[in-house]
Amino acid sequence: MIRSVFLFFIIFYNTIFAIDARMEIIKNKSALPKIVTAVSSDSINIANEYQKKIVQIIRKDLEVSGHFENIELDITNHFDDIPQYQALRNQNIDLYLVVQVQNNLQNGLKVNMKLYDVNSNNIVLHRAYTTSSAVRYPFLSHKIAIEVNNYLKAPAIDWMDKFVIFSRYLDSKTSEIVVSDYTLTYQKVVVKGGLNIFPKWASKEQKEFYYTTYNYLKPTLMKQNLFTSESKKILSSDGMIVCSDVSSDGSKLVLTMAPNSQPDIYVYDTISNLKTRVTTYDGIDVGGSFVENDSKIVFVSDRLRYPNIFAKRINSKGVERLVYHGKNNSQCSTYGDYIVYSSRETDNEFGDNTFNLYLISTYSDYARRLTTTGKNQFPKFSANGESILFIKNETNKSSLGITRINYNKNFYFPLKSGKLQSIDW
Amino acid sequence: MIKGTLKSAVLGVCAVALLAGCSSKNVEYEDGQSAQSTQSVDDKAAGIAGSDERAVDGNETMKSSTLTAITNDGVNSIQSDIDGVTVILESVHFGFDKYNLTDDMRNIATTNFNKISQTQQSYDGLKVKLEGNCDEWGTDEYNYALGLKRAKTAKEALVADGMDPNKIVMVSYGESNPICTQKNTTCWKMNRRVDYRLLP
Repeated sequence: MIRSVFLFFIIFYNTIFAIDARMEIIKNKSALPKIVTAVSSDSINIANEYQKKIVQIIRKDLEVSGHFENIELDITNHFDDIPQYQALRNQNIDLYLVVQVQNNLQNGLKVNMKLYDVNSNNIVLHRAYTTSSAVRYPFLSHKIAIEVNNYLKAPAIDWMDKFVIFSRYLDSKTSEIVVSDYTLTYQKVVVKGGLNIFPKWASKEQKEFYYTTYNYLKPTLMKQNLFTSESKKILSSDGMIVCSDVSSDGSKLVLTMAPNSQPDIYVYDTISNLKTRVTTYDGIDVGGSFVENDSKIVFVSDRLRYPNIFAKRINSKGVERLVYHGKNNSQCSTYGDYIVYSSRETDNEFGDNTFNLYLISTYSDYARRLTTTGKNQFPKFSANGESILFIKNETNKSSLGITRINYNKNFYFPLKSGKLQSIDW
Repeated sequence: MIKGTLKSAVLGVCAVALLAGCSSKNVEYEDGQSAQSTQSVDDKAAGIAGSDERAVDGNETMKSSTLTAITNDGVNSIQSDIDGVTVILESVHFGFDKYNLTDDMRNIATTNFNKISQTQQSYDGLKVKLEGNCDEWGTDEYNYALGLKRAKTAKEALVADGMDPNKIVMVSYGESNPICTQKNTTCWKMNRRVDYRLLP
């Protein structure tokens, strides 16, 4: 009897104080959890070509997240095989992810995934994801990476599943607008024909977007529904018109317009159709962004005889200079008290110039350079402010760049054709 | 008595263990079973209205530009045909990051004014479109504004020479309308320009 009770207490103790391996990975590991992502050896042949691509994007997503260390091991297993836990532990592997790709319907794919916690010898996730079109496979990968990240309770990376919208120059006075995933692997053209530029999401739901078209007599701001392609004219302007920011509730737009051939910042109320002119300087004022609950505008101006970053309250006269570094700061994006801007660091009329991104705070002396080489422009904060999207142009190559601010890392995804003109996410 | 007490204690501990064990259970799935959930990723992408849906693979190569090198000694002109009459108007060029006209460019602007005015005598409704352009340096939104300032400078020169401002239309193409794509000073200078185009 005593022996039974003793045995029972042993079981009771292990049950009550059972180690949650997931939390132990986070608490006890000063290094990142090591994960192996393997392709099962029994994926269907026709879907084989997508296996490696799907796994490549999963690995890239995990790397970009900054929460994992990818380990490449040559493992050949069927999807339902039990992992060789001890062999994995010998390699200090914490997580084992196996992916099986199958055909789905006529042109689609189904991806089965299992995630094993190597330290506790347990399967902890078992999911399946489908798409009716194989070209959408990047979203299968993103979903899996997000799921694995969420299992670890790491900071969210849901943004990886969202669309990016960009315009690219194809030829002289010719561009198209494309919706893609953040790696630029999945792409779908949503506006083509003529010159269509500066796409901007109308809201975080990503159902509609604004863009500028030159296909009418004057440059015209359009609003288009992503799913119906129904579009309508918002405003026209002599010279130029660009939507550079949208208020948090989607009702107001920051525009650069030139109704009298003079480029200035305006705030346009889409409900009342009223325009409020924000800047009156007779030089160049462009690229405005809302800050401080949409009451203030941060923008680019050449009022010091070179482009720099300034701020101004709507309906007030005072203009505040925000950046005291550099001699050519021609684009900016804001998040809370932070501004990221692109600064030209060379002044060479006769050769290559370098544009680097800088991150500063409006309330302290905090300043940090984010890039070091190439032409890095068009920075855009993510919705949660943890990442910055930008365009990097180097000789004959145009790439989407992502800076993971808290992890001090940059990642680049090249555009295979055309030149990136502008981008939003 | 002691036996009964011990039995009660064990039962009590069992109850507590069951309740506590549920909250710390870490085995969520059993291998070999079907997936806990099947989720489609088509909820958004499938509905996008567009064309050319594709996954870009690593073998796709960048399209090459169709633009050619400048061969006419760096002089760019726009030819406009008005009812069989050909009018050639020379573009004005600008310095790096500048939108003011130098003296020689001002002379070109005046020559253009003379040609346009002469043509307008025969075609009263004729308008001139000034297209501002930039080289590839600088961010694009700033370049569209810079191109517009250049066009405005060219407009002011025409107005100063006597043209009706209502006969002038302006647009900026920023860096979207290069006439060459070589990475050299001659090409960059050629792209920093305002083109004059007649609109019948």
